[in-house]
Amino acid sequence: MLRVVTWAEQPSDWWGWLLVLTGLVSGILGVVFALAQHDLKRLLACHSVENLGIIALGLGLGLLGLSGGSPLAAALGLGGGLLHVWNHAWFKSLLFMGAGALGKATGSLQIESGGGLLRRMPGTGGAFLVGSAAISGLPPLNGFVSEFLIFMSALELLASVHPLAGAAGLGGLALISGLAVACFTKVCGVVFLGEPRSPGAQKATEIRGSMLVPMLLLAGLCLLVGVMAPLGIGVLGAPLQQLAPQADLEPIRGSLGWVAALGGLVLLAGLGLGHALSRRPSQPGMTWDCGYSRPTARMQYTAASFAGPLLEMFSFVLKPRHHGSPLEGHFPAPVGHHGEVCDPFTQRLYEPISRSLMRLALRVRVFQHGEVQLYLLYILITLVALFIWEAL
Amino acid sequence: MSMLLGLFLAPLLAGLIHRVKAFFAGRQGRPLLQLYWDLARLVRKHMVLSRTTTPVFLLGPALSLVSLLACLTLIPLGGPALLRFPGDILLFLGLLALVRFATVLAAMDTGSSFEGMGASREVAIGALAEPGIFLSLAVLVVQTRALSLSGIWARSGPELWSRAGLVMVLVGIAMFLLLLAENSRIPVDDPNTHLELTMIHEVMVLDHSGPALAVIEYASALKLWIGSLLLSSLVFPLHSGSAWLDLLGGVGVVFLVALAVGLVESTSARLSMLRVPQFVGLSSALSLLALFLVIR
Amino acid sequence: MKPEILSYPEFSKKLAGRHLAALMGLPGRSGSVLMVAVTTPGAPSAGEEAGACPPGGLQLPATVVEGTFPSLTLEHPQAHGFEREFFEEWKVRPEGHPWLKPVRFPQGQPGLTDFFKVSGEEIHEVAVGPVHAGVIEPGHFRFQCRGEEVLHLEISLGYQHRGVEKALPGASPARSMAYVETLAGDTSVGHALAWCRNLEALAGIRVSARAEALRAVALELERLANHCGDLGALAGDVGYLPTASFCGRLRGDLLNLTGLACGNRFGRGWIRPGGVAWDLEPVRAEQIRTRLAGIMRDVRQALDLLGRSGSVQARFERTGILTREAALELGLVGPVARASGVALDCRRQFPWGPYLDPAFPVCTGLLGDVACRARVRIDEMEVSAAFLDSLLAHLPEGPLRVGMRAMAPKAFSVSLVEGWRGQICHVAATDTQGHLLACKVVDPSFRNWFGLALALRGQQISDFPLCNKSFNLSYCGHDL
Repeated sequence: MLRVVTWAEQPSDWWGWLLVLTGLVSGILGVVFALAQHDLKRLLACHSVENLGIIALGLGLGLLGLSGGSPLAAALGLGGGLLHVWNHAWFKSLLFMGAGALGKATGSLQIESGGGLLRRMPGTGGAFLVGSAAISGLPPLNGFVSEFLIFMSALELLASVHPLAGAAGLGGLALISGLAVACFTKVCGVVFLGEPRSPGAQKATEIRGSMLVPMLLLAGLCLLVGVMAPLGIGVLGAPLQQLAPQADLEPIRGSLGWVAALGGLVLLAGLGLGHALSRRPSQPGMTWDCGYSRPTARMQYTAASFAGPLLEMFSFVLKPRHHGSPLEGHFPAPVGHHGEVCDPFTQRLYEPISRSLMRLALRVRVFQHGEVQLYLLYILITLVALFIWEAL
Repeated sequence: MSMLLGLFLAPLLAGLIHRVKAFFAGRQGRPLLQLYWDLARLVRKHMVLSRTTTPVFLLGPALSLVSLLACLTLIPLGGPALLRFPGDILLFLGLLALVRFATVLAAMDTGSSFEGMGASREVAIGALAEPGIFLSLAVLVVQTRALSLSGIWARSGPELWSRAGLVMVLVGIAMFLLLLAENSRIPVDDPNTHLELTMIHEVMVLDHSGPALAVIEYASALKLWIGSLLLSSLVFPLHSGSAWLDLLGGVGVVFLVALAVGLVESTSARLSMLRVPQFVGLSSALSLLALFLVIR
Repeated sequence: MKPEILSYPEFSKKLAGRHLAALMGLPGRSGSVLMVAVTTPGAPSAGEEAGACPPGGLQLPATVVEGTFPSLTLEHPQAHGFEREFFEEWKVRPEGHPWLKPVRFPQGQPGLTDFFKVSGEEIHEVAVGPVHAGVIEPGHFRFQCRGEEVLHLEISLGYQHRGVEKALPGASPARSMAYVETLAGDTSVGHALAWCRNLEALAGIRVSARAEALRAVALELERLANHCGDLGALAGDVGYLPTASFCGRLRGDLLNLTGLACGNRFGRGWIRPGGVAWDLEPVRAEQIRTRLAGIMRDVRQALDLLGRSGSVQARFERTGILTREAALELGLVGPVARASGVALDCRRQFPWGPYLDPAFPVCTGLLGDVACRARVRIDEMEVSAAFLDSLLAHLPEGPLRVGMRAMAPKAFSVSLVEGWRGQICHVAATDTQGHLLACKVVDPSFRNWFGLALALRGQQISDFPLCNKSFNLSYCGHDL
């Protein structure tokens, strides 16, 4: 795709817009669907959709920078997009390897059947945690660096030639990264922390060194790219020259330096403080159970429950299906419950028009919720907006 | 200097909010300095560590506190911040996301359903708040053409208010709503309740004790300080010419914000959990409206 | 009145359409058990005025059971708790009982039961209690949740079982008063009154009009104080501080009125068999009357704030709905049932002394949500305050206390009192020597806890504390 861009003399606006919009849609939908998955591999696959969305968003913003005549925004967007391609390859391989290790150790890829694995598989767990932080775009890891570049590109556009695209990119990417944090805290929290939720997780042991070492190396790479970004940014120079001769990432090198320095410092100091805390006198106990002395592993938050509130908000895209009979009578008989979300592509790709109409209608319905005060506020906002319109 | 001020004064905000609420309830309220004593006492205590937990349990609070300290170096107060560079806004927001990531994982580490509940609510609110914060800062970026917090501080102020008052009002309201949501205040959360089932932030730290709890309490005081400081320095900065006066004014506004938080808490009830997303969404909508007004 | 011994099918038929106030066992011949039901007329239908239900109409059907008997719960769900209790006490098994779980636990094994489970990997359980974060009594709550939604709530109590019912027959009069006044600490007056009225009926004495009036003063002051505290707690639960703290203080002021009358803020030691222990001299009665008027002014102000706050009403409305059907089927009582439109009030159904006014208002709601339960309490406070105001102005004359006589042998007595939380039912039976043979105490909490569990179905788990407060039930009154 990028090759095509280089053939053209001057990219036109709509190419960039197309990429920005595809990026946003695929990014947000990708992460929302990931939140709803029960299977770790499917979840990671949905995240690939999300990350491709981020890449497309970066490239789109970069193209808009090119067409609008803002070389810095172009360099940042294209550079961020390209860097994210690499970064994504690293942390996603790491996470998939982690998922593989998990499947081997516990015999299941179901998120709900994990639990307590960081204690049993510290190497895998640690590497997976690093990968999760990286894919969630947290400093000082590599994911943050590429998202930083894309965000900067959006900010540049916002303040100069394409404010609307900048705003869309900024808000969309912020939403994506917020949801990604939610999704990966879910995975890490449910799979690696807490108590084992299945016999498989109970018996799990650390995997072979030959499987572990590549994961640890990749985790190290994620960190290295994060803190070495100011030095390594030049690597992006050559491909950038191809795309946009006048683009230059030099101005951002200083910022990246500070980001890396402060981020690295936070990590070190945090580890130090955590270590200091663990050295303080303590005694072992049990997790607070409200005085009930017979806790079970069922008394842990499940992944579905964890993602519940967010899924509820996005149920208009997800259309979750719940199986299970409702509880009936004052003294109900035992029932079971199961929920799932359908494959997005069968529904979404082939019925785009009806879907988008539906979505639009549902979006509008968000504003219809029966809260009189908020209605008043809407009216107020509209009045104020009209007033401004009139005044200008 | 301004950073030291934050380190020392942050716990005072909690005391101030309590006093405001006590005043409205017709009570005397706890001493203003209570949180300082609490912290001093907690630091000396032993901890109880659940057998379920891993190092993540202590790493969470530690990383949160350190990230917030790093944030503090980026925010101007009465003068440019200690560290400033184009794009420091993004690092600031990235660090806040790291705080959330660390706190939530530390909560999930206990395997408790209560803490899972709090964590789930926290990420849901956080994911919605994130666009709100980005967009409200974006408005300021467009208004001031500055890509760093200190830059915004330098170019914001009365002149900007006279030029784009409405936009600033919208941004101010949006940032205040986000402050309430992010700091687990009424109407989103009730920091005073003892009911696990309704809490958000408090329930996530149910199992932390002793020094770890001190770290958490101090970190949340700092978070409130940082939130108020953003409003003070970016929306209502003072440029009187005298650095001391600016500093004093900045701190004054921070305390005014805390006062406003206390007022809101005294006079309104909590929202139902179902309504919280709408509340947080409202702040994003306000920022978006402001943004459209700016770039139109 | 004597229990009427029937065959089992007739006994079961006798319960249809009626409110089951109590179900108790009496030792029968050769190991069998006499199961006695205390029933009162069922609620008037939804639209009807409460007065459609004429006073009186108590029935005492009984049947002899041995070993096992077909469970009544299938046809009369309101019997579920009583049958479980009956099973534990008499080891007679209600066959086919759909919910035969322990009500109370043998010594040293609290909380040991199989909880209802919703299976599925997405479901998580939340176990709350028995140790709670606030200063409240112990009880275990088990939620089956999907995300924030409660699919099912099961409440397991019994942590405070003291064996009061067993201890009462043999206890000295002074000791039994102490037991009764602390059956449920916040209902001292209600239970003391129900207990004393039973003893008086068995002894065949009538208390003076003045004593009855003073008893009504005690009962209504208790209602006022508790309703006021509940409303404050409801405000506190949604984080609405002004009403929460005002009502907290005003509850104290109302308790002080009881303290002014008898020296104890909970009215302990005021009500005694044969009458009351303390008089209200005209000066003191007037003092209470003026102070009450002042307190009510403040209460109205605090509640006005609550009513006018949109954010509070938004939380109260449509939260924790309990339908009229469910309230009737489960035999719920008190403000909780009235908020769901069940117009039952013992002050109207079984009036005595100053309550002998055919127009005594019964406050009801329609929807059965938290807002209705709050509204019924507010209305009842107004009714009680007006009632007290006129009663205190014209206290009838008469002796404070008449001497107790020996109790009749082989007698059976039922006493129904509308405590602030709802219908309190005490049953007492004497043996051939005229000594107490068996006592049955039914606190309103015993029935209403199940209503709370039902009201939570499909609700947000974060709304549980609010729903719980709107019921505000007693743990020790249930556990006995």
